[in-house]
Amino acid sequence: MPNSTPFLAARNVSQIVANPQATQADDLHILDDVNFTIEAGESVAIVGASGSGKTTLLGMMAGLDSPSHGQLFLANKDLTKLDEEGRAELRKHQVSFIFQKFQLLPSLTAIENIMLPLEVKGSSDANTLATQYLNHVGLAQRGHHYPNQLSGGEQQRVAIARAFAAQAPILFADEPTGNLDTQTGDHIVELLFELNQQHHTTLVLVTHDLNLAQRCQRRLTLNAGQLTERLDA
Amino acid sequence: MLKLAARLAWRDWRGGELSLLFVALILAITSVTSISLFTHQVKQSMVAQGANLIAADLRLTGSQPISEDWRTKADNLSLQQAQVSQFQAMVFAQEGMQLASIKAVSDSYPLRGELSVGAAAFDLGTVIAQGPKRGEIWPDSRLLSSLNARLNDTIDVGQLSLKISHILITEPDQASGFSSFAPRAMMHLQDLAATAAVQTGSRIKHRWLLAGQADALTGLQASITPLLAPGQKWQSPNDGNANVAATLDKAEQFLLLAGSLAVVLAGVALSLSARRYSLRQAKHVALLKCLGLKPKQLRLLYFSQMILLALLALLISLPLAWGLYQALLWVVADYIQGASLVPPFEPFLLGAGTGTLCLLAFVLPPMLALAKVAPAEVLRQSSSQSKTNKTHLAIGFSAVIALVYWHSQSVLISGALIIGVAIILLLLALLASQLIKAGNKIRPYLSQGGKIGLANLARRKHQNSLQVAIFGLALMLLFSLISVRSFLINDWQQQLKQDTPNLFLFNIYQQQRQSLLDSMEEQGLTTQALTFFPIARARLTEPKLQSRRGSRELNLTWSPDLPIGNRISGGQWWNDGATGLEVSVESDYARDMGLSLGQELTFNIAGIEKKAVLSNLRDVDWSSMQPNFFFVFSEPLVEANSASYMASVYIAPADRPKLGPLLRQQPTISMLDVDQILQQVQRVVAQLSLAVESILVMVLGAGVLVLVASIQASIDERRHESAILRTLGASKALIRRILWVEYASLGFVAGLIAGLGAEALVAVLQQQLFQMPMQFHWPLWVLTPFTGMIIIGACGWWFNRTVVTAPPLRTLQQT
Repeated sequence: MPNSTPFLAARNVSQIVANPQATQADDLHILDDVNFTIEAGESVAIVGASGSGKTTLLGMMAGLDSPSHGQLFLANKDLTKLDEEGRAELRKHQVSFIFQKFQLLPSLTAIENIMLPLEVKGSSDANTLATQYLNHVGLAQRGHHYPNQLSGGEQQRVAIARAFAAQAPILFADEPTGNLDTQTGDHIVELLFELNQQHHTTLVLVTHDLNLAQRCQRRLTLNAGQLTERLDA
Repeated sequence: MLKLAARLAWRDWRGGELSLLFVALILAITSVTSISLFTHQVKQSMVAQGANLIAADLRLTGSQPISEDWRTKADNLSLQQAQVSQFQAMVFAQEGMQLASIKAVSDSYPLRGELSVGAAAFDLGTVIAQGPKRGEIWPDSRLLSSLNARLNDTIDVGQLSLKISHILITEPDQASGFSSFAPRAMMHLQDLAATAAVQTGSRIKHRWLLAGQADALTGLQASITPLLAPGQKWQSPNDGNANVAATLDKAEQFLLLAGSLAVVLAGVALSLSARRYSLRQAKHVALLKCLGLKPKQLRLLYFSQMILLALLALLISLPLAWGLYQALLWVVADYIQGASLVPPFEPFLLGAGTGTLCLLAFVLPPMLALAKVAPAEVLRQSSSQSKTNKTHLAIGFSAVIALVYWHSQSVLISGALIIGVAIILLLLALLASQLIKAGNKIRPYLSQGGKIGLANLARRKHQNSLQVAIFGLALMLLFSLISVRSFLINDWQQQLKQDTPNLFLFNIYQQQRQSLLDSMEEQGLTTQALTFFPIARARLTEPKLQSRRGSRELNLTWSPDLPIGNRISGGQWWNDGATGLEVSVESDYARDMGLSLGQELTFNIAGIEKKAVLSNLRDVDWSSMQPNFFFVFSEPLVEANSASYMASVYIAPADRPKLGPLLRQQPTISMLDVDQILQQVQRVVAQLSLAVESILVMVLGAGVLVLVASIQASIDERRHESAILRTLGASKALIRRILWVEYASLGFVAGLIAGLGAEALVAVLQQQLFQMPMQFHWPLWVLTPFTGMIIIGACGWWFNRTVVTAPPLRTLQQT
């Protein structure tokens, strides 16, 4: 183990949910002693069966939740040593996220949803930048539509534009194509890898889609909370 | 951060997320401010009426003339002044003479209230701006009849002859006590010296009337009080007629009670909307945290949003309240006169303060708690329903107590309301579980809609208990208000029915009773309601009472029966076979004077000592306008032949001209015309009815808002369930039936409990606050369950209509 702080890593990470009506032995181990390291600019897929703990691990790596045990590193910082204020600061500058269910704010138009991370960062030209990203995902004409006026694919493209607009060095994506048809899914995958390759953005995604996982440089497999890595030849 | 807060608030507002919260806040501020403005105006109007009773804002009375220095001081303070000197003198006309009470008034009399005069005795009178001019005299109807004089005749007062230019019908500061029933006349003050009727040592009462700015009056009073001679005393509008003052107190308490109810309801609505808003915001907050906003920044963000919301609400509510208040004034324009054009500051402060407190207590705690939402919440598929936060509940409850006390300024009103709320919540919890049991039993016999509707009730046991509590509370408050209004106004108006006595006759001797009845019948006046009360004047000598009130001469009466409208509050009324002299004392008087049951009291009646045992205490309704006495004895105190009697009778307006000839036939009988006082009381009651009805509209609005807020609180869940049911093949009609059964059942139970709660609350208020006998309001028990069922069923159906109409697919996609 090198002494320098890793870019993105887990060290003996476990997540245990206590069962209040049973003994300690019956506690649920969502993640069990997980270890990995991811270098800046890599593309990594986390795969596994439903309920294997993929989304939990992704959320923890992004600093959205804390593990029961172990250490997590994000952008060369030990997440477990940071309080919520510190983690928030780190997320603001280092992380963007694409959610499985898009998580667009229903009271905001498409363009306003994209503007949101820019506004949180205090950007003065949020509108201009957001428009550029909206155009980039091919929704130039839908900027003033609300999420419930957009199809699932369009909503996911807005969510991707929002993640791009954050201009963060690390992008986490939870089942980015899970709710989409093949054609739309392919288009979104192209956008993600374009970002990874052109901007050297680290891409960590959770997926069931084997084709998508194949396109990543590395694939981490979660099985009943335990992680194994399969390296390509 | 403020910019971001404003932007997000605007987007939430545009998306309709904040509208219910905003409307609830506006309603709270508007209702409180307008009610407070209105109450303020009603109080001002009441003070003005009190001022009418002393013809001034402040009055100094005494036997000494008013010093020139004091008058100069008042001039320097820009106060209006008038002087009145009152004395008794024999007056002479061509055909007779009579001892009369003469009031000599200066040019500016009266400063407050109105004088009315007529052209003949017992006219109803027309208002006149100023008192008599020099050389004129205005006898009252009684004096005119006694002297058998007419308009333009002359009357001699001492050495001066004065012309009758008008007949005095009413004067604002006409005393209504029993001591002031002598025939009266009014003349100009500057004619007084020429009469030579007042000499050194004559009994004369000087009154100095003042009106103007309250500060100036207070300053003058403070500077002169140390210089007052013995017997000189200040009188303020509050010292006016005791009956009217008691009525006005009731009116004020009622308006404040109504105001408190509106605030409690608006608070509940705000609390519900804030809870819904915060639940819906949980995902937003988690997302904002994902984007890097820190908890501290989120708290600041929501705090800024709430401040912006409060400012906007104030900006809209305060002018709205002013407009509403003007509309209320317009409604009651005939009854409330002299409304100030300059808005008083306090009601706006109260409204703004209430709005701020509501926001701080009901809205801000759940908003600030949002900062605790875990960012990982955004990863979850569905929103975790936050449990009711006990701290937030405690803050809200404390705010309700603070608001109710702040608005009512009465521990009793606050206590009655809060205890009522606590009891109803307890009952609701018990009844909710009973309902579920009953629902389970009847479910197999119902149609499909009924089965699912009742199953929904059972499934949402805890949530429905809360909703029943809220609906029940809202209905209870509304029905309490309606019941209180009913007993306060209707019962009391019935009490002051058409034939309430308006004329009191004094100095009637035993041998005159029959001749009075004969004279009345001869004049065609009804004698059916004429009741005679024997009177003896006496002093209480044992125990010796130190207070001025206790040591003065008293009017005593005796009766074998409890006077009508009196109620025994301690001890027992005497039986026929009772031995020894017993006395019944009015309960407040006994308490103030320290008299207790079983105590022996000694009275000096025309030099003869009589001992009586205090055998019972009575509650007396002083507002009844019936003759009432502090002391009632079990046996006659003087020989029947030497007793003097008083009687009260109702004289219809058309019969008033017959009083002149009657009194000419009975010249020794004195008369007190209380029509003016009655008119004043009835005017206040009419004014009150309108005011209460107007305020009731706002309280109803607040109640409906509570319903809407609680429907909105569960609408997302219902929409989702409806979408699933429709996907499974349920028709829109079936879903409507399910909603109707669920809400109508909720309404029925809430109404039933509301009826029970309202009855209990009204009973407490009736007995403890308004000192009225408790009544059982059986219509409440029928009306409330069905009203609850119809209102809540209809509201549930109407505000849930999108549950039925929203396309199921879209609903399922959004959740």
